Amino acid sequence: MITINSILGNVKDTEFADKYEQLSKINSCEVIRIQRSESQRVRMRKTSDKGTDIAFTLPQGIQLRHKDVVLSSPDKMIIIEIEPESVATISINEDIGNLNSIEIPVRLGHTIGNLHRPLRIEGRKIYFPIQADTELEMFRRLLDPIIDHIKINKAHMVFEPEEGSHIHEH
Amino acid sequence: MSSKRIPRVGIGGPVGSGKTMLIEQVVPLLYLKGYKVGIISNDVVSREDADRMRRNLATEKGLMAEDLVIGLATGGCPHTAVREDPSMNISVVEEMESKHDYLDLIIIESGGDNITTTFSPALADYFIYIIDVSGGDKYPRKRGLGIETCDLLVINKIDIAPSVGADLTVMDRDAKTVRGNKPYVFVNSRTGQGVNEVAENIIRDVLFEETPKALVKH
Repeated sequence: MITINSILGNVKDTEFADKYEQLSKINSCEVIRIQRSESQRVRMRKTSDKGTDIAFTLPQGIQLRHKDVVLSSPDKMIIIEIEPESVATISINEDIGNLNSIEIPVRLGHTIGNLHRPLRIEGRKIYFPIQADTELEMFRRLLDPIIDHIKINKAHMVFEPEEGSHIHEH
Repeated sequence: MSSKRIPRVGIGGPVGSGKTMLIEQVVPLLYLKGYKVGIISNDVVSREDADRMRRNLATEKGLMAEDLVIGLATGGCPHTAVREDPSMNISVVEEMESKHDYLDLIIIESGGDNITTTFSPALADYFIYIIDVSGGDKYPRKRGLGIETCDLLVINKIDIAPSVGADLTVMDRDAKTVRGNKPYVFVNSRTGQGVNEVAENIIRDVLFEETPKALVKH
């Protein structure tokens, strides 16, 4: 059993990026897969994809991110990966015609907020998790007044919410 | 700070599913292996569950000191006291950590239905959700926050399954589908059947099979 007390960084960091790429090519990166709901856990026991037994005892208040590095030795790396999940994506059209510019953001915020979803915003695209495909139809109905100006789709992806939107879901 | 942090298990489930009785069965098994445990029991207005566990585990069995079982009357929805705003529970946990640093584990019990219940990661490191067969064998496949996200799903009262028309093979099949690789266990908390497996999961995944503090030679 390996005990991990801290997170070293992320593979996006310059410190780890090249090494991660090189070690991935020769299959020397081990992966621990966690659910998004486990990303704020400070104590847990996990098994990597190569069978390594790992015990986490992390400082309170930590937020694990996709591709965080938990162990780095000259010939090996162990990284965290967050499991992909079902996500709804809403894209807002560039041309919203004569619509009041405030209507789309307010209706979207009100509808998604009422359902207590965490959120990610990238440009004109919004992401939030769903549990079943039928929810897409529900959102299309709820957003009917602005439906001509948005596109609602489903994706299966790693979802990492904006800071501060880790609200409860039910 | 982290050195004195005591591992914490949250146990949630609907009213009457057998949370308190499960704790009354699991705690003696942990004590038998040398692990010392403190208990916090959340309820809306009464402290009946805490009083019962204190009488059973402390006064009658003499396993633990009476002040190691604490009842919290949360006043509102108990699930909010372990999920959105666990500050009341955290302050009691921290008080327990400073007063009784010899403890190996703190168990936090709270009622809550399948749709709303989960423990804040700031409060609990591991989440056990318990249901019983009387809700029908459809229960696991209907999914929900508790059943899907918990670390260990406990299905209780298997002895009465035939009386309530619940097919355990259906529950087993559905639980396997919904849970994926995550564990679930069938128990009868009245007799203790299956409860050892719950204790083993806690010892492996929360206590990391470490030697109980009281047995560590200095």
